[in-house]
Amino acid sequence: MMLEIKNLYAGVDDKQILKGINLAIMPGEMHTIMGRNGSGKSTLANVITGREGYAVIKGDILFNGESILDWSPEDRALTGIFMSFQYPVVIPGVNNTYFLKAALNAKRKHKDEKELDAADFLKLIKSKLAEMDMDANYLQRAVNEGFSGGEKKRNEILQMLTLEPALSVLDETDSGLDIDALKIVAEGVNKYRSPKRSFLVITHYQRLLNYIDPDFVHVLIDGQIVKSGGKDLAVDLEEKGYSWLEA
Amino acid sequence: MSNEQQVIDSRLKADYEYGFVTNIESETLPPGLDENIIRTISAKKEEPEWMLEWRLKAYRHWLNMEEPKWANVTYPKIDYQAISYFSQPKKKELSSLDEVDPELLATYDKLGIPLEEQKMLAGVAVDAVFDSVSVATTFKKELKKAGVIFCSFSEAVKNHPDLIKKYLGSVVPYTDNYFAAMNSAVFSDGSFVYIPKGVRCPMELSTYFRINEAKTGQFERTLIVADEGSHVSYLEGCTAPMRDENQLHAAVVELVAHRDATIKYSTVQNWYPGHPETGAGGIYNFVTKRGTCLEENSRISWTQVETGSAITWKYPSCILKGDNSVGEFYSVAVTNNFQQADTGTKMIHMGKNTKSTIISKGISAGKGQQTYRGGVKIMKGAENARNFSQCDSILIGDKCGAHTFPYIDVRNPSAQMEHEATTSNIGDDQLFYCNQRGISTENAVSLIVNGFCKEVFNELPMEFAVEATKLMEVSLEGSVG
Amino acid sequence: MSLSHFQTEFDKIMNRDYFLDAVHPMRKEAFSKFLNSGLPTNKWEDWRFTNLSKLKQKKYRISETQDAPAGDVDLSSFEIDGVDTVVIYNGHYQEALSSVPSGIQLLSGIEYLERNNWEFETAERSPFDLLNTAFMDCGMSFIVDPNINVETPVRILFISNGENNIMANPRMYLDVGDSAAVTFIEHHVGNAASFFQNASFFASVGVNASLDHIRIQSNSTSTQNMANLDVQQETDSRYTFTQFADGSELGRTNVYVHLNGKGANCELNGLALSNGKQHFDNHIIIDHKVPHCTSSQLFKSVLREKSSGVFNGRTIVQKNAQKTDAKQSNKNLLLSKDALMNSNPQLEILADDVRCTHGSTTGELDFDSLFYLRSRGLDLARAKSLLVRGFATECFDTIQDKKIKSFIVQRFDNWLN
Repeated sequence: MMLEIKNLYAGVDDKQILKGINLAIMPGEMHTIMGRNGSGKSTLANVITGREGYAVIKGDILFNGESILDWSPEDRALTGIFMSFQYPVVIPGVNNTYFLKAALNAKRKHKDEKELDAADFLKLIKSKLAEMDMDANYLQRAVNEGFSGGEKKRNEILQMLTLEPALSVLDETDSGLDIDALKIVAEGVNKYRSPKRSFLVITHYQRLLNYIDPDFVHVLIDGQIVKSGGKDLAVDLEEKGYSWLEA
Repeated sequence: MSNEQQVIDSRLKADYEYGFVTNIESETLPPGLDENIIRTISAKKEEPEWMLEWRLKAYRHWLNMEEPKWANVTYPKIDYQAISYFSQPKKKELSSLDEVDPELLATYDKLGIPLEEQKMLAGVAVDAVFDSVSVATTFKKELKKAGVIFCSFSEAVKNHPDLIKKYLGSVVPYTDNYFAAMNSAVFSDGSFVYIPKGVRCPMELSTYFRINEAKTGQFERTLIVADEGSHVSYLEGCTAPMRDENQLHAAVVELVAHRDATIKYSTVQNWYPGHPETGAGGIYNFVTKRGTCLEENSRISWTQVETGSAITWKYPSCILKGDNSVGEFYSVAVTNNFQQADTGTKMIHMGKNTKSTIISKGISAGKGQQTYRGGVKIMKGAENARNFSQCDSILIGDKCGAHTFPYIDVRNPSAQMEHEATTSNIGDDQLFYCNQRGISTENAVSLIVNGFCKEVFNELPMEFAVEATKLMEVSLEGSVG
Repeated sequence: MSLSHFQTEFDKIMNRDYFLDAVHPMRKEAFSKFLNSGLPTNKWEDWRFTNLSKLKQKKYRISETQDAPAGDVDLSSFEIDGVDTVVIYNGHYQEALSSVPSGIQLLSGIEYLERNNWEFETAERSPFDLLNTAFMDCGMSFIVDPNINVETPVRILFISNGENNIMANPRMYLDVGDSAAVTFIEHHVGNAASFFQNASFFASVGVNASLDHIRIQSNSTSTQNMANLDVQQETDSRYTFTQFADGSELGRTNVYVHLNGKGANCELNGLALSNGKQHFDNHIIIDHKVPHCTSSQLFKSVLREKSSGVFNGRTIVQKNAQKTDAKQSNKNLLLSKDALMNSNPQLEILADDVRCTHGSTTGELDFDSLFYLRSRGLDLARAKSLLVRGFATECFDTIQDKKIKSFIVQRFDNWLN
């Protein structure tokens, strides 16, 4: 099992948001979490990646069998957990290339692999840019500086492709994208799938599921997973909304 | 309290490294300012009559002036009669380092400028100013070979009166502003540099300042003249001890670049920033720094990294008189705790085809406040003037502030102006983003702050760049978060 | 045009039988407010640099039936491949010549009003907003239902022809439903000797919806063209605006974008090319009301001869609009000593965790670059052309549709040579 969430209760600012989440993700699987705003989707993502300010009240999160609740965010990242942010931040003055190289080499160092030098990294990043249909001037720009909403999301997926995480948590990656950008992002995600890699896709809009194929769909209502199923569950949600599950 | 917050708090409280006081006998005049004090100062320095006359003219003019009130800083009213305007160690003239008071040398050791070591390693001539009097001047002989004059201002008044008479006040007349008038009346000492025609100064020139006695104003006067085709790079760096009362610093720096000459003036300034909890005890830093590109193809470049100082009010400026002349201003200012800075530059284009570049970076943390005023004035006869201004601020936390007031006055239609400004906030989000990519908080801070400042740091002479980076770390360690 | 003359024309409007009675009260109210304020003078802050004297001198009248085309209308010179077009000729809708792509519903005024409970968006920021409400003649309302992705772009072709002093006040509504997407083009053309068009455009972009708006202003150089755009954006929506202006004697575009929902993105771009005594004025306001929205403004002008321009770009970031990422850039190329540009970028930031940049450049062609190109064998005209082209290219980047892009690039090349 790659990721196991056991009876997780968690919250932020003294408010309890997740009320007993149980989830098991095996290697190679793609799970989708759908839910309204306020249902706890982002909280789940933030708790998995270890963001400050979120408190785990009860339960556990295990990654490859080990509890990661006490781990810092960077340690969780180095061990193979990646998050595509819903609202990627801008880091002015810090070059995209420099940043991503620092991140990649931190990972390689952690795995006792040789760090890449500037030339090798440049070759690598250029091929990934081509995959994501992004302009080469990306290399000179600062992290997300001057990027449109769509470009920022594409940058997230680009980073995923470069860092090659085992578990990718995609937090509303499809929000705010036009159709073309959505297709590129979906393509990037689909190409990245493999038996050793898993996805936790958090989404609000059914539209994304026209382009990716999750193995499981879970519906999150008021901090609990109330129903799980296959892709057709998403179709039901599209037609009926959430109220039929809220009873 | 979160982990990050704890780290931040402990670093913000890091004690000012250089906070200590040297106990050396020094002669200090009683507080207050009147003609007698000025005469006393002039007499103690054994100045010629014309110098005293100049001081008195300035003083009389000062009496009719009003302290400026428009700066975007607040400070308790300065009682000019409660400050002593002169402080000098009680020893006689020294001819070599051996005769320097060992306690004094120890002071320099603590400041990180052991003169002997510098002599051996960096080859930098150091004119160390101990409070208001120059104590040691090294390398005079080696510079003399090149024909470069580098001495204390007081010496220059005695040994090079023609040069002083020709250039003193030519860039900043005592009528210019309140603090310039005050300085002209009571200036204690400073540096004088003259580079003769065609000479490229063989080493970087440097001066260290230190304010020691409580209630002593520091009134430095510096004059640098680069004759035709010459080149000089001058470094100015300051530290100050921990004090409970605010200390006044009103310096005047004048630069004159003749045809085809270049003057590069770099400052790394580390004033005591005021008590971290109350803001009391910091330095009041009112400086007038100006350079005139007098003739064609001359170039003046100001580079500064500033941290500390309770209140800073300074506008290094360039007057671009000569055709094709170039003025540059690169600055990083850090305000933390209760510091306030009102800073900027003025570029005045008068000749044809003149060019100016302004790159200003401000980092505000804690309750620091920064105001940047960038003035670019294109006079009527300034054909084809070009200006590029970039003014960026980073705010760390939500209690600090940064304000930008660019003012652009263009009176010639052929001018080409470019201006960019960015304000951003470094917060938990940026750090978490870096963490989530496997980059530790410490490395992230380094990445962000250095990335932000690199354009300016690249302009500093190497030794200074190292000190600047260290200075930034002391001022900001953990305050990013 | 004096206010009493406006009154005369307004009375005509009120007596028109084919306009809805239901909107009469709205018209009356708007007109009385208009009379109170009058047309702007150069003492008004937003009109300091834009001279309306031409507009004030002429005596315009509303469009009459005789202004509609008598026979066929030749549209060949305005063709853009791959778009469906709705034709409006001197303020008259030409049904026979029009078509809309599948996925879009084109509603008449009554239908739209009924659908919206007899209320619709209106604006009162400037006298021209009021004028449009009072005098609105041809109204077009477009609806895109939720989740519909309209593949073919839809274009409204506004043709202004003829010798008469006509005043037209078209009013357009465009509602893009949740998760829907559409490309919308406004194309202004014609050879009118004297025409005043004051168009208002109201768009609402639903949750996760996408609207690409292209505005091509190529009227005759004796046309006064006012455009009032009001855009409401909901959560995660996307709005891009690309304006290409080379026509009209006076062109003023007022844009107000309301970012009402988190995660909304808005990109506004414009390229203005002016000759003779043309004057192009862009007044932009983007209002960040909620957190996590992104906006950008990129406006460029190339000015020749005695032409002039204004850019006033305002980005407002409200107090709780944290994590805003906004940028603004205005670049102007003056190709003559008599050309004049007024650039006023403004940032009004009330929140404290935001990222905003703004920049403004006004200048001439770089002599060094010109010399370099000439030293490589290009004559002065070709060298200038190359540099101006390089300057303008950035503005076309947001246009995704290749055919629309090539149409605009072609017009640009024509203007250059």
